[in-house]
Amino acid sequence: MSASSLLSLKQTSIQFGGLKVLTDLNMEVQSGELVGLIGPNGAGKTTVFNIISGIYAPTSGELTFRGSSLLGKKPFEVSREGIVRTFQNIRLFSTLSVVQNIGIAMHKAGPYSFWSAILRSKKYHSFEDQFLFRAKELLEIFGLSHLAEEEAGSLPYGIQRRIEIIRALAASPKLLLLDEPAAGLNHSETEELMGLIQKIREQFQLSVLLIEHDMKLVMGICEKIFVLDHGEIIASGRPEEIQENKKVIEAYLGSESANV
Amino acid sequence: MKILRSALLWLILFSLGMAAFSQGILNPYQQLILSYIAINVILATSLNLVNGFCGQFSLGHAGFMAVGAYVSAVLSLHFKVFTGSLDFLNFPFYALAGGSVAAVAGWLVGMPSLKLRGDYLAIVTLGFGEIIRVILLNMESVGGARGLYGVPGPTNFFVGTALAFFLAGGTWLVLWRLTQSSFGRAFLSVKEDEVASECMGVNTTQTKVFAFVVSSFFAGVGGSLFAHTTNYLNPASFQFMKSVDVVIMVVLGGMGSLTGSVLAAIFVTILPEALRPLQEYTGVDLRMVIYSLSLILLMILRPQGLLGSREWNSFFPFKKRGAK
Ligand SMILES: Nc1ncnc2c1ncn2[C@@H]1O[C@H](COP(=O)(O)OP(=O)(O)O)[C@@H](O)[C@H]1O
Ligand SMILES: [Mg+2]
Repeated sequence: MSASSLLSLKQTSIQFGGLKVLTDLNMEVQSGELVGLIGPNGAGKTTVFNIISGIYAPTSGELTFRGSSLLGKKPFEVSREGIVRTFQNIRLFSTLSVVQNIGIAMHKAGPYSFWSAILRSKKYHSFEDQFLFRAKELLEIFGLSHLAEEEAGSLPYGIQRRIEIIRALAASPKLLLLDEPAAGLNHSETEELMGLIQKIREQFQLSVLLIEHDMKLVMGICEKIFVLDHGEIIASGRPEEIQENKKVIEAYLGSESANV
Repeated sequence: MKILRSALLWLILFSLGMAAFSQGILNPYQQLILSYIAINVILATSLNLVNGFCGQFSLGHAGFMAVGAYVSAVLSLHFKVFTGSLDFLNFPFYALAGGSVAAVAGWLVGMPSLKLRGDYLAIVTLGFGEIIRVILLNMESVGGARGLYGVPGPTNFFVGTALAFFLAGGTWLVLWRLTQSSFGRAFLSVKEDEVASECMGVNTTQTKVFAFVVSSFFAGVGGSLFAHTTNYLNPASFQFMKSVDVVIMVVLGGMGSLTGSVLAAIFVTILPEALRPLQEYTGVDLRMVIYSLSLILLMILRPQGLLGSREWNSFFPFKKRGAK
């Protein structure tokens, strides 16, 4: 493993009952990379995220982050290690305000003690101020400052997608996992989002692993792409290499979802 | 002035004010109702922490109340820390002790059942409430089915009501500040979406157990106040229906609204009493009928409860903290 390897999956497999969903996955994300994970619907992309984020335990294989194993870690532990995700079917805390959503991602192990909260100590005030400041800062980057107090679930779909990314950023990730962040967005929204992803990656010095089933879209911004089909990695490499790969073209034509 | 910003000072002034008010204007019966309101406020707000804020379903509040009631009653029958003019300080001490033992019970019950998602908590807490009741029923040292007589009450009523409101106000203060903190946001995230909450770094099991222990503590405090208000304990006071009563208050006031729980506790305590003259007039006990009907009506008209999840401050156009 190279020194800059951030996340690696080795021979990772998972099955549900008798159903093999992922088979012997080998993936690697280097520090600072923007990596795409593509594949037709049902290929197992979301399941890869569920394994990385600790929601599912792999049946076999390895999973390491910054040199230490993530196996057996609970989702909140994985998150605190620095891997934070968004969800394909947006999972904001929908009856809470945007600011509260952001605050929850900053809670971690509790930024102050129970007694600090009850006595409203200096620590309490300093964190609450810091949290509002950070929320404002993040919202500004995305041009959403005016929505801070809005109920998250009442906002338009495209904005909810962006707020989910903001919430993930508030958890201070080193590796950001985005599950189809452009799903349901129109063309111009998608363009804008891709620009934003590149921007935050620079600004926060993130590594990003991005799921997308629209191949054209990932080609534009990713440095490396993994192609998943029927639970197996059928190709990996730079976008140009992927574009010409026969297996990939077949997989996509076969599923009729090419260039959606 | 800094002292004016001290919550404890306001709490003491509030308790003394309520006591002076009740001593000056109310008859002993009305004063007793006031104490019952204080008890129900404690029970409803504390259960709301678990059922309303965290979205879990506990059905055993009466069990924790019973633990607090019996522990503090036994202590006060056999054990005095303060004597003479400081005698009244014993009661907060008993309440603290009752609450602490209830909190330990809450931890023992919550730890295994809150690890799992779903309705396990409802089943386990229901069982716990019944087990506590049956144990008390068979414990001769605390009177068994006959009950525990002669629990000392505060010596004068001034101290009685003041203490009741000190405890209710203190419960409110702690729960209010807790729910308005980062912990409060964590509680709500568990209710909203446990998976998303975990993925954002919240230890949801720990968060739920924490809320449950705090909730149990205050149920114990409420039980302790109950013991010293009625001066008599009987296992029958802590039946399953008592837990249901508290759930009703929480639902009625609004899940996730402490303000709503306070209003509901007042409403539910006063309504049957306010209907008493009607019963004397008609000669039939229509109280439960009217009580039930008004609950049904309210749930039809406002299924989210009186206040939904809104709190008192959302009705005033305050400037939000941090907003410039
Ligand atoms: N918990 C589970 N139990 C059974 N099957 C599952 C489970 N999670 C995912 N699958 C199956 O795994 C396959 C891949 O799903 P998913 O990872 O969501 O695909 P993608 O995100 O690539 O569209 C699907 O056939 C799905 O039914
Ligand atoms: Mg998917």
